[in-house]
Amino acid sequence: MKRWFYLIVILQLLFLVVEAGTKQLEISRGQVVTLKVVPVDPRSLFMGNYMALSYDISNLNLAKIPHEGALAAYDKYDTKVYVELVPQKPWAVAKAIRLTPPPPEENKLYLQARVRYGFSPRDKSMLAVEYGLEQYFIPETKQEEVNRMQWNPRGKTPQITAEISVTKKGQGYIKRVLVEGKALGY
Amino acid sequence: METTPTPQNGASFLERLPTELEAWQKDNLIREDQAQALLARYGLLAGETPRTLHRSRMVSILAVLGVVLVGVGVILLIGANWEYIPKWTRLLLLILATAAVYFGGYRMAYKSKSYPKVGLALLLLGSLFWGASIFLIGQMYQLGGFDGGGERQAVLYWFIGVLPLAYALSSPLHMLLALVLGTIWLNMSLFEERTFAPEIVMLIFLAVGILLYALGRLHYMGKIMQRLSVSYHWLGLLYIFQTVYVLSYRDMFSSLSFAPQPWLWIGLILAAGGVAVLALFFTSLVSDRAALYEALGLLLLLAVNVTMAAIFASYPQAAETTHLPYDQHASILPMAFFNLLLFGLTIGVIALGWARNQPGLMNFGIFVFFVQVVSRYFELFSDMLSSGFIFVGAGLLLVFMGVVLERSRRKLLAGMAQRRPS
Repeated sequence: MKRWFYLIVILQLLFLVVEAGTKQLEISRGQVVTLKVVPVDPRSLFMGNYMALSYDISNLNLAKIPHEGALAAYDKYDTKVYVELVPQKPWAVAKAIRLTPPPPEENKLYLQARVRYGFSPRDKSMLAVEYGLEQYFIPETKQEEVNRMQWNPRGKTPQITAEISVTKKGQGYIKRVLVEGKALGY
Repeated sequence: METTPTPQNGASFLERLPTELEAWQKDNLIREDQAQALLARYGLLAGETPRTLHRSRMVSILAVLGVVLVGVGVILLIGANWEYIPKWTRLLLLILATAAVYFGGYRMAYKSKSYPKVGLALLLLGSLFWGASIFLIGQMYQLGGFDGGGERQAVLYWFIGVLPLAYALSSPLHMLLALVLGTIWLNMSLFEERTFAPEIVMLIFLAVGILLYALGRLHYMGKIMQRLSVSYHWLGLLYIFQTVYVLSYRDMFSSLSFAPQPWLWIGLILAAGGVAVLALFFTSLVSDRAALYEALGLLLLLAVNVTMAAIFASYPQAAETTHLPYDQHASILPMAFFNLLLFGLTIGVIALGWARNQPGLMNFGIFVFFVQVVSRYFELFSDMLSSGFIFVGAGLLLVFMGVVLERSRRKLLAGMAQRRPS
């Protein structure tokens, strides 16, 4: 029992170090792009309050963006797609959409995504996707501040962007969220 | 002079044991070292009295409750995402606390054995801290995932980490935590995925219930893992009864939805359940008769589950979930079947509790019976004539069963009286 206990506990602790270490490494090594954000804010069961983010590249117009294969191939919930990005100022834009990842030798910047809603009956070319980057966890004490920041009824809506670190395999990690160019300090 | 065994009405086996051992030693039936070995076998200390035993149980309860509060508190603190402590400091503190609590608890429970009950509770706290650390990492790196799947994945990691520890420590507390986590993960997966139809969720729950119950019985029969059987057994029972109870409602079958479903996963759970139930069936052939009936009951449930899966799988596979038109008459047959099944299972559980002398099982069966009667009374209220006949019929059946049992009990007693030497 003693040997198994030590082995499992050491594996558990190692898991924490490796999990945190690999995420840190992937974020620091990834290429950083800025995306335009459209925020809202709910709460998760174990990880606390978060801003639910949606990006302007969360809705893709397949009539305008070049895409691989037939349109119908994208019209299914949870289909995995790869969105090729152009990292330009002030934020990156979608250049192409593919059903398979670009070959590594092409050295292209792309994000993995999943189809959420198929084409709407009104517009047979608008595709809603998720990048797995839709939750930005914030301190409970900052909830009010974030709410005011996002939903200012009198003033103009601030410009919110997110810096995303993208790995070579298209996995994205949120590095920072910026409001009017100023990073949220949490 | 021989001591007379003292009657200790109402005292449990553990409470009686120290006094009995003392008496046996006085009567030179056993030596002192054998008495010590017997005490150690049941986790008792020399000189243990009913009062100290009660206190020991109280220590366990207090320690576990305290640990649960601390663990939940730490998870809430993680959720609060307190910005005054930097994230890396938070993670380092939590990893150090996890290691300290694990090794401290192990020392107290198994090495020095100075505070065994508190030590076991601390080992549970270590696992709660470990889970909190996973959530902290998810929060630090914004690992929300697709559809909030990051949180679901974190719960799965937690479950995978705690389950082997339950076996390594042979700890019922860790087993309970692992199975609760597994249940949370299963529910998150089934209810957050938009493609699962309600009847498919019920089908999966029933399959999981059968698997857990059969595993619980197998753990119980394998003497080494007997301590771990309780959580499997009860959780399996809850899964089975809540599923059959939900399926006993008429509305469950008045409109059916169908969509592409995870048949591979359903097949795997059913296959695992099938293997466990068959293993239980063959083991029960050499065991007591109650175990055989129990295994046959599980086989019947498995057959129901496989039939349900076959019916649902035969539906035309639409791309999205679609609903059949409301059909009140089509729902009567499955509703009647699942009500009968629930009734049969309830009687089975009460009988099992009686045969095994487990009041908990009997109370559970009586509770389910009460819930079923009240539910049907209100559900079928609009049609009082037929409901009345159903209730009277079911009641008469129970009274008849009582008469049969009473007769068999009398025969048994008469047979025993004849065999008794005069």
